[in-house]
Amino acid sequence: MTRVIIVDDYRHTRERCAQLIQESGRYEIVAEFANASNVELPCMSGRVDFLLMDVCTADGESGLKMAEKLKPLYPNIKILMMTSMPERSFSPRARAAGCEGFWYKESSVGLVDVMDQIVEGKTVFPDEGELPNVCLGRINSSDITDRELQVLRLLAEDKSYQEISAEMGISVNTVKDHIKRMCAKTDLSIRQLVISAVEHRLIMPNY
Amino acid sequence: MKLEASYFADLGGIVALAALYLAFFYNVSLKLRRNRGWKSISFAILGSGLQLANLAGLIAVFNLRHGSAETVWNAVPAPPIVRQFLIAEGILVSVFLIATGFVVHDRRKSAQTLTTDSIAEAVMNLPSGLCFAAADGRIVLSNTVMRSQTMRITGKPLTDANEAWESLLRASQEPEETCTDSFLLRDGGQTWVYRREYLEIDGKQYQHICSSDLSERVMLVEALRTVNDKIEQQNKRTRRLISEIIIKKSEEEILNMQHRVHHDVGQCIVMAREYLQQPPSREMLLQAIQRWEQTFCFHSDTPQTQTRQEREEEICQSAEFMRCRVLFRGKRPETESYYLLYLSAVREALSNAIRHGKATVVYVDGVQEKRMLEVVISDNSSVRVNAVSEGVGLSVLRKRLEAAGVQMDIDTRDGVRLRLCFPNEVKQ
Repeated sequence: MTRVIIVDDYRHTRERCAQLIQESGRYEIVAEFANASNVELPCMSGRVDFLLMDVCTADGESGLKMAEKLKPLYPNIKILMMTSMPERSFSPRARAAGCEGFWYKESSVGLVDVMDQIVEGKTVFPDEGELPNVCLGRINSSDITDRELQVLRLLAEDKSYQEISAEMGISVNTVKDHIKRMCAKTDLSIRQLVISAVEHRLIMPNY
Repeated sequence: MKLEASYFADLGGIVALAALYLAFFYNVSLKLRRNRGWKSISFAILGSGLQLANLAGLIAVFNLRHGSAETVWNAVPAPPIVRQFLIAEGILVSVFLIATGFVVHDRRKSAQTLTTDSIAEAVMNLPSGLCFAAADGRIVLSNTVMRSQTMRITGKPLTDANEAWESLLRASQEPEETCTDSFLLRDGGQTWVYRREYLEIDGKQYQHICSSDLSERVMLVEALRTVNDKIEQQNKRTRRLISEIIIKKSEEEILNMQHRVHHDVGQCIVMAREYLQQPPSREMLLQAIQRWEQTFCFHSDTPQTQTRQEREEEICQSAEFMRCRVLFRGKRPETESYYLLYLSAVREALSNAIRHGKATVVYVDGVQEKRMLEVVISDNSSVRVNAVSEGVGLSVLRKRLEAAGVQMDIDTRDGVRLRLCFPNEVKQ
């Protein structure tokens, strides 16, 4: 029986996940936490095989940051990150942290199926088409390119054009070009665009 | 010659010594059989020589004291016929004793040696069925159990192994559970498993058929299956009950939320109406604005925060994994941002206490001192340190605390104590 800990700030989500997982009969829920900071000691105890962890957990604690911390220390514990946020960087970050999977809560793929595959030793990450979409002005978030989104993310972090160009290794003019293109596509001003992206959780710099 | 008491005493001594000598010789022979090293052989020769010399010496002394054996014998007061009878009886008894000794020795030897007969006897008396046959079915060796089972089940004597196997397979009546080289067969109240293997000895093919009694194991498996079924039923009932409880709780929560929304929004509307009817004081206006903000922030889609008790319980639950208890005592910071820092400090101290001090209890004591809240985090660790080097966790915590104006000190005088001073707590 695989021993699982569920971390999610919403009690209903935790309970629903626990119910689904327990119904399979292959997993045992050993604990449920709302805050990702609390999983460190259970992992240290060696009584956990699987972490099902939300990216955004209680009190603003990031599940991803916790996964980045735990994975090198406890490589045998399988970690499946989950979220309902449309933030695109979560999945690649989870992969880079060494997590075995990433699951969108609205995904058509069942949670238990994903967990089964991970327990079998596979890694499960969503395809491009599975990314949640939000509306930004006239377009969907999927119409924004990764580079444009990166510029938008740095703008949301209150970086200047010079800082953005230095960080991305491009010229200031290219930064301005990206911004112009986004504004033209969405029919929004740059300020409206940043606000809209943060409001729709396309950009979540704190996690 | 007159027989004296000393004669019988000396004779008894010789007989006892002779018996001792025989016992010694027997032990030496057993030892030699196990170990034929030069030490054992030397010991046997020397010991036997000494014993024989001792015995010969004693017989010589006896002769010197009592005359020759013939003289002694003639002195026994008995008629000649009785003497002859005694001689004959003595010879017979000696022969009988020697013969018995040989028989006993042979029996012991045969019991310890593997022979064709002993193997055949063991095979015959095996509690399991056993049969070795050539590839064409000709029986090479079969035991009583196998023969009697075959006769009872198939109604034919065991003459051809292939034919018997086919008949037993048909009698098993469980074709769906069988494979060609193994099947289960119910014989009366017993369950037997039959297995067939092929061997190659000296280039010739043989088949080895064996049957074992699985009745006890089958009974145990059936009992276990019954228990598992019961447990599965109970689990189903429990899961159903849990689902029902969750649904009930959700409905209850939705109702509570609806009630709260109704109540809070209603209060806001009443306050707004009062304001519109007669403009209130500045304080009342601020109160109304605060009320509106609180209400609509609470009912917006921001994640619901846990209560303080839930947060502390979660830390305790986490510590329990490491068999450690956390005791929150006294005051906690009132301000939310300070309270979050307070919990971060508890987590860090708890982790260090378990990791480095093997602590089983961690105490978190908060004391209000004038306008400042002092929190001391200590533990029951027996590990004593002179100084604490701040790792990544502690230094990050220190930065976060100091950025918020909270003072952090580490005291190592009586165990490791983390002291936090939250300023202006009352004012906040």
